[in-house]
Amino acid sequence: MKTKILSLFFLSIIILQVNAQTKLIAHKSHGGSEADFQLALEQHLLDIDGSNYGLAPDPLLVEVQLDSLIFVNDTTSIVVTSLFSKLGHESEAVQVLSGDGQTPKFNRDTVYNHPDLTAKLPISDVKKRINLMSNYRNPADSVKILRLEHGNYVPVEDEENEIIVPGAPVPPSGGINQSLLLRWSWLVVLLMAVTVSLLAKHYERSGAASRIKA
Amino acid sequence: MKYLRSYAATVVYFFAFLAILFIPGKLLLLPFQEKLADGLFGGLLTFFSESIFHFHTTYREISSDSAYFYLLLFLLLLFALLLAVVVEGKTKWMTIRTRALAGLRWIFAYYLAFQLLQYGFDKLFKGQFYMPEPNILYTPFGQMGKDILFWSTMGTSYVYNLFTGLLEVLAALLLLFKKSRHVGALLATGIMVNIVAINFGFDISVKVYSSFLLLLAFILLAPLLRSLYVLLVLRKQASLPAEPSVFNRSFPLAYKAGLKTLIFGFMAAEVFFPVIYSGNFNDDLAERPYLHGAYEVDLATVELDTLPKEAWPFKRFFIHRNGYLILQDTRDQLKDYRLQINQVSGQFHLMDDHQQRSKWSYDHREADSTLTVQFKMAGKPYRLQARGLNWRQLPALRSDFHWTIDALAD
Repeated sequence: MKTKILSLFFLSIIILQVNAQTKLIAHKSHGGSEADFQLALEQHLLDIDGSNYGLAPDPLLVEVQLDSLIFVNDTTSIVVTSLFSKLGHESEAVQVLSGDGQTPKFNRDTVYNHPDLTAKLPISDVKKRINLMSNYRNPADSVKILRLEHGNYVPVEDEENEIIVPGAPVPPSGGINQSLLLRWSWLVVLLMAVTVSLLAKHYERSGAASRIKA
Repeated sequence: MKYLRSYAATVVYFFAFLAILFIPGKLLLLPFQEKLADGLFGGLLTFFSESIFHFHTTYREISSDSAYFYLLLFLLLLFALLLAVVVEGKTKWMTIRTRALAGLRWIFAYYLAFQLLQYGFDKLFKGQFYMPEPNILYTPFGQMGKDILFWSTMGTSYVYNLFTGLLEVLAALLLLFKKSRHVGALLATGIMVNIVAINFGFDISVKVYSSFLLLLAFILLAPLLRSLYVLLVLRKQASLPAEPSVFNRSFPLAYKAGLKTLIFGFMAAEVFFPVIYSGNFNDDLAERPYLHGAYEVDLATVELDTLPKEAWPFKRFFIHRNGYLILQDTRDQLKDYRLQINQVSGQFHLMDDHQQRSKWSYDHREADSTLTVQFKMAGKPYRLQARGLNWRQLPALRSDFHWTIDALAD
């Protein structure tokens, strides 16, 4: 219970939800200065994402989890992340699933010469730097750090840990899932369109029939 | 001259159409649209910025009033110019030109209506101009920029948000139907002129996008200008030009009805999905997070010595609803930190803009809304005791209304 309260509050305070505003107004609204705006912009520290034209945001709060860090060589690393969405401050985050509705949706990004996520650094340093990054929801200890050797993923540090590689199935999580809801929205809209279309066809036919009768 | 005018009109129409396709939006049902421009033109944009215009920026996002946003529009204008050169004067194009431009006007009307619906309902639900945060309410007026001042002032009046929101929704609804589209274009132009003036006048960084929406409104209004001039200025009888039908007569009614329902359904889902999902129909009343509010320091000690007021490290602090701790010093300067609250261990986890982290202990007494914080600064242990302020009772947030000035005296 204690862990749950702790994790809820850790997760619920730093969130991506903002009110509708421009990036500059979002920055100023919490006392950010114009002098610091460029820094926040370049380091992606703003609490507002994507293209914003003063419109209200997506109500779904999205958090990024760093699942695995795979060192391909000293200069190239693969960052595997997954998304968690939740509704409002108090709700529990639910992992965003892929199209099959069973497995998490993983994103793989290849980074080159990254100053922090590099095999050149000792693993303890890499972990420290991951913990300093504000964009991931999980601590560095939960990140699987692997090395790609002859096509196999080899754990860099703790060999006893279960290795979760990209795409590995995990039990589907319960709760509201954004992609599922959006798919339902599409279905409802399409059904409405088809129904109206059929009604119009019926109306057209009955209108034509009554004109012929007349 | 006639060719030039026709060519210019085609360029404007093509540009507007390309901009609708590629300006990144936040569409819930078409999430890929946001990445379309970057995916298709990302390389070209970098080439233009670095090799042609010689400006270097680490911020390459195409978003409201960013340098890359301007560059994208410039690129789309170039494409529109080229496309117009290719088609203009060609016999095939000339035979379909009138109907094609009418079709594009139909798309512009729907797009503009969609945007007005989004902005309009955002105002009705208080999602756009939200209630000012406590830190804004306690910041001296002169210290804030014009943009945040305007935004915050708008956020204090629910009635005005209802008025402007309803007006935008009305303009959108008028634009959606052929019979009322002319009136809708007139109303939308008036609304957009005002918005563009606000964005330029208050230095709000939605200048380009609002100008683009004004351009769309003007394209819809342009065919009527001559008739309006004759009627309103020359005071002669005039009739509005007939709009060519987008769908020809043989187009089945069933398809037309289905297509329109699909578009209306899409718009409704995009506009209402967020509020239905969050249940937040009036953001002023939405629940605020734990400890959210303004706190005034009453007592400050360092190493058990009581500090005089002028030596306090800050006189007020605020907890912002988006997870920030904001400190206000005795000269009213503000400093913000990203905030995580560990309620179990009673700690604030803070991070500044340079990603420097620190931890503060806190103790919250709900009975008298006292919040005591302890932290180390320059190696010395500070303890500050503060009380929660009733910021919702400030004059800016009171829903006062007076028919007469006499009422003020009572």
